[in-house]
Amino acid sequence: MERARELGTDRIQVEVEAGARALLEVEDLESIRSVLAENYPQALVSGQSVSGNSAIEGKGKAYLVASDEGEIAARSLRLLEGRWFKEAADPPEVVLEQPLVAALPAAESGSPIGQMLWADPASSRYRRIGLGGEIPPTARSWLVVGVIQSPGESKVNPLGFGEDRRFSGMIESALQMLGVAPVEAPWMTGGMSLHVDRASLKAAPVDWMVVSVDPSRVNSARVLVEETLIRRGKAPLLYANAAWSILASPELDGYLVLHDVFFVVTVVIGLLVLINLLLLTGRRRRGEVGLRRAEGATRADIFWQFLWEGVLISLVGAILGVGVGVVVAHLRAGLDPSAVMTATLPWKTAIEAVLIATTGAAIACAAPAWAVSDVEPSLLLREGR
Amino acid sequence: MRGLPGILRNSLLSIVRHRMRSLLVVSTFALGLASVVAIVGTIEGGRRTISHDLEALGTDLVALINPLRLGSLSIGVKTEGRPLVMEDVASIQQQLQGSTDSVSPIRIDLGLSTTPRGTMRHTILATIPEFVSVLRPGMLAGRFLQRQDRWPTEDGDEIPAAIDEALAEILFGDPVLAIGQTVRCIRDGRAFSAMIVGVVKDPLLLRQYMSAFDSTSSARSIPARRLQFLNLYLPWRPEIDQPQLLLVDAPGVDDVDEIAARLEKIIASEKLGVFLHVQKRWTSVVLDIIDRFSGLGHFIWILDLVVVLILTGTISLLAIDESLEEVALRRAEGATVLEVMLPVLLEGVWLSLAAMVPGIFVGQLILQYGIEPVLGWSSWLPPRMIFGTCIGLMTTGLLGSMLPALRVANLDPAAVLGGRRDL
Repeated sequence: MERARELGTDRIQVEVEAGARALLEVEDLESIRSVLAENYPQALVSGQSVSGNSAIEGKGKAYLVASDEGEIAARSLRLLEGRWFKEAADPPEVVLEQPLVAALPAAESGSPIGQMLWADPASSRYRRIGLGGEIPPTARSWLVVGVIQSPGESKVNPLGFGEDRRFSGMIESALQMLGVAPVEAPWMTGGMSLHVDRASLKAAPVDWMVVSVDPSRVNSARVLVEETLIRRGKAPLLYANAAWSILASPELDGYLVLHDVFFVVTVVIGLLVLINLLLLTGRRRRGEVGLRRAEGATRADIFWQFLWEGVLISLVGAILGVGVGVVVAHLRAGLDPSAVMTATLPWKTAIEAVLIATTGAAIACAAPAWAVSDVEPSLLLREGR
Repeated sequence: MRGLPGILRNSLLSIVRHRMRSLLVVSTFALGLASVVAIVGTIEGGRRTISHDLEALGTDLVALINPLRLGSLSIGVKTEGRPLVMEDVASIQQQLQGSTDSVSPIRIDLGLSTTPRGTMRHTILATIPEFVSVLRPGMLAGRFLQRQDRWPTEDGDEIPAAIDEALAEILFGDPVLAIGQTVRCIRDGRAFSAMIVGVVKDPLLLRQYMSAFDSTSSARSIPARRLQFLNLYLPWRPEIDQPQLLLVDAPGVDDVDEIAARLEKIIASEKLGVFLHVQKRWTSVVLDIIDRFSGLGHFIWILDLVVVLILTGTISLLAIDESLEEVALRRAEGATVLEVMLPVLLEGVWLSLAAMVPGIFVGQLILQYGIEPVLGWSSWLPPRMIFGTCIGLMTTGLLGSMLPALRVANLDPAAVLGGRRDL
């Protein structure tokens, strides 16, 4: 579940299109909370309003995120220091993302916790942000109570694609062609956001909603959220982990049949080649077989010798095949690491494949082994071997 | 027997003398070809179905879309300016009069519809009757919206509506039975009742496949969701509705560029801020992406043939040892290098030729019973591809015999006949 949360498989992100007739509102948030509470008691719902007109002198843009107490759990944010803010606290509280702390002018002590963060709207078109020191009279201020890790470090976008992936990039391009434009929200991933209580700012529309539910129930929760918002006259876009939906789809089992079809074809080709090789090597080794027969070996002895040879060849081949497959998978994962992918050894599948190949080889080798064992030493002597 | 008849006879004799080996090599070739046929048939079938679905969306359409965020859906020009309004639609209709099949304003909303069978989220399109020219597959039952279909003046009266076949199937079971039935809908947060007057035939062959794996449909922009063909079509309200989309239907694909150019001029002169979306160009870009993915698939069958080549080559190399003494004897009797080498090469060609019919047959069986029921689209083997794979297999047979043929060519008859088999 921890890994599932890291990859955002428990999450549904909701927004409306830029230019849409109706924006999301706090009332929509409350409505979704109440609908989900009836059907998914464990669900977490949070809403964020984002203002991008803040800046740290000489360090660039920062984002003021008006949010609520549920955001840390709903977005699986990781607290590095202190705690999350409390709603309606006096003085109002703020939580900073770690890269933002590093960008702020050096604080008096090592930690920003307990210091006042201020935002001064008067100085320019950007709201100037500072930590500690003399607070300008026109500034608003918050008490810093916590520092969180940058959410962008997970490198997974709202559709569950690794942002460091070239292949993901190709899929995203294809999705864009079909009208799915994965969100570009620097406040979510840039590490330059400061999170405050929505009540401490003037009421603003909700730009984003985040819903977190049990990953296995994301699809049904998504339908409920979408229906609730449509009933309220909104046209929402909902982002949820695409790969998880596909993996959870019952249709996928049907598609895995294709994998089995090609596995069977490959194994049959391998066995045909093995039979042929045994027949040919058996003919080349007629002298050796004749000698063993002359020394007293029975036809069964020869049969078992060639049968075991065939089985051993297929066993070694199958084990080598599994080994090479695992090495290639690890090489691929090592050379081109990804946040959403790790190489593992599928023990069950590997053992099944080895067993099928070896058993098939034992059955397939029986006929050529029996044919090879049919050597008369007297005939060989007559041929002058 | 010398010369060509001798070469042919020797190559066929070698096959007859080693029946079991020949049968196994033919089986290996046939299975290799069968898997190639299965892969090619799947890829080409998928590609053809996708092309059909894309073309069913209309390659002779040009759309002006008010500036919502659309990803890269709108291949074309994005302009800065004011949004498109109903007055612009009337002006464009007038300017393009006679040179298009229709110019239809469209309003697209996300809506909910409920029948006793359940509730479904889908797009609701408000448009004018001329929009029917855009619906390539035509009507499955009933008729499309007509001039007399209007919004009622009294609250609570039913609104005439057309519905897409796939949506009708979800809401009513049998799409044809939807005619004359009422559905309760929500659009823009307001509830109303719609009475179905027509069912639009579904243009998408990939419907089942799309619904199973389209996990990103909720993230798709609202105008793009129209192309899922899960739409309810409502009459346009002239004084109330504003267009999100203006769809221009050119008479043919060849007329698209000229109409797009005229629209560009209108956009510039009216200073409109819209996307100019030319469906023909978009289709071409999407097909190009699909071609790239199919290219990867074709790489797999080439790899498959290489594996078959290695396997049969190994067998042939081992098998030739059996015939070395016979070949040496023929060389000693005066046969040329070509006369002993060509039968070995021809043997591989005959065996690959013998594998072609069973290979294609087994491949078709794999497609018919293993792949088509799972994927949900029909496989397709273009004659060109069948010819290509057969040539590929014959080349594989020829290349597989190359090493044994070289061994035979370099054979020293005296050494072999002297009992030395250390070549």
